[in-house]
Amino acid sequence: MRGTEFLDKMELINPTYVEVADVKPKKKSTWIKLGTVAACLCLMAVGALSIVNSHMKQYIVSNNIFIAPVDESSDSVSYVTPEQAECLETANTIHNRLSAQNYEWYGSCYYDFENEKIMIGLTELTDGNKEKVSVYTGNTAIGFYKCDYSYVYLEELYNKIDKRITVLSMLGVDRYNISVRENRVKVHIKNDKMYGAIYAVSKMDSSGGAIIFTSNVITADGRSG
Amino acid sequence: MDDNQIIELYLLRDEEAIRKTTEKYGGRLHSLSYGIVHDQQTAEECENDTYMEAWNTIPPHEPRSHFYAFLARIIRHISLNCCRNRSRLKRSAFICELSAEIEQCIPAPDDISCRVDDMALSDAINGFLGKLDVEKRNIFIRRYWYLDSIADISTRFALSESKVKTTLFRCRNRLREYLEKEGYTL
Repeated sequence: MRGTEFLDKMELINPTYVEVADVKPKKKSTWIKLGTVAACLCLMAVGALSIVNSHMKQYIVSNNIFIAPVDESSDSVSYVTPEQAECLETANTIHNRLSAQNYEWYGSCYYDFENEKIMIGLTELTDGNKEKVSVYTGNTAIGFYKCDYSYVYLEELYNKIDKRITVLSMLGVDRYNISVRENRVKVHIKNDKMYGAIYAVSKMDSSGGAIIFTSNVITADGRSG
Repeated sequence: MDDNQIIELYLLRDEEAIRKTTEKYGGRLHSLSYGIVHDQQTAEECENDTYMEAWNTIPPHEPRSHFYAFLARIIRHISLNCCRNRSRLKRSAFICELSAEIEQCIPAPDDISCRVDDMALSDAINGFLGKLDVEKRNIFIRRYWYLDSIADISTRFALSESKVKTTLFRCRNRLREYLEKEGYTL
């Protein structure tokens, strides 16, 4: 048998099949198509988000980033004597003067209630630097200690966060400030699951470790410090 | 008028049967024939010959359940013969192309006439078609029964031409394998 004959023999096809094949297939509705595309896009978005989320979580774990519970007592003192208030004011003045100089080695200045002394943190604890500081402290009794970050760096970091605060607040950043005493930038987040916020803020810290994350909501599996 | 009533008219040898058939199926039959011969006048001739053939074959046939398929089979046969016999139609190339395509389904093509009877061949083809899913079966039938072009099939089923070609290629291969497996010597 050749193709010509076989083509003729095709007429032996079941009449039901022939009639069914003559019915125009229903076109898929545009809405169904659009719905399918939208559903696919949603699935892809959910998939992508879960991958990104897992990547950010991994980043947080591998970089040992902790979220500390908010400790209100560390930032405020319930009772201050007039002498202590004066010392606090002096420490504040010294800090304002030194930070205005933009010294790369100046880190922090605060009044230590326990030792009753104004403490000045320098990243490079040299005699030359101490001498420069003494110009701004006069006869006030001060103590020096080595700190990790310069105030210039902390300010830069603060400004970076401030510039992107609209996006960061959507990701879960509540508030932020420079903690002079702790020589860190403190970032308060809504809860410890805000991986996007933690990831984005941590990425701004090129030195690493200059940010303290705090939150009021820390879950059981959270990485509370 | 339903098909049963039209068949009754044929059985009563009432010429009204042809008028009713034309009214009900004339358009579809004409377009089927035109799809094969690509010539208005020839399609009309084929349509008229179909009514004549139906008049002559009912009775003894009584295609009550598939009257359109019965008529369509007649007009397909007549239209194909027209294409082969009338070289002026310039459709022989298309028919040759289709014949060459469908020859790929024959396990061992040769010049000897079909060695299985029509009943067995019908069982074989229908057995194979029954195993295909509806869309593939319809694509296959549109191509080799209605003799549609690839472009027309792709438009009809909202598929790309390459998808239609691939589907047909796979169907032909499956039909050949099916015929081989079932032991049909064509």
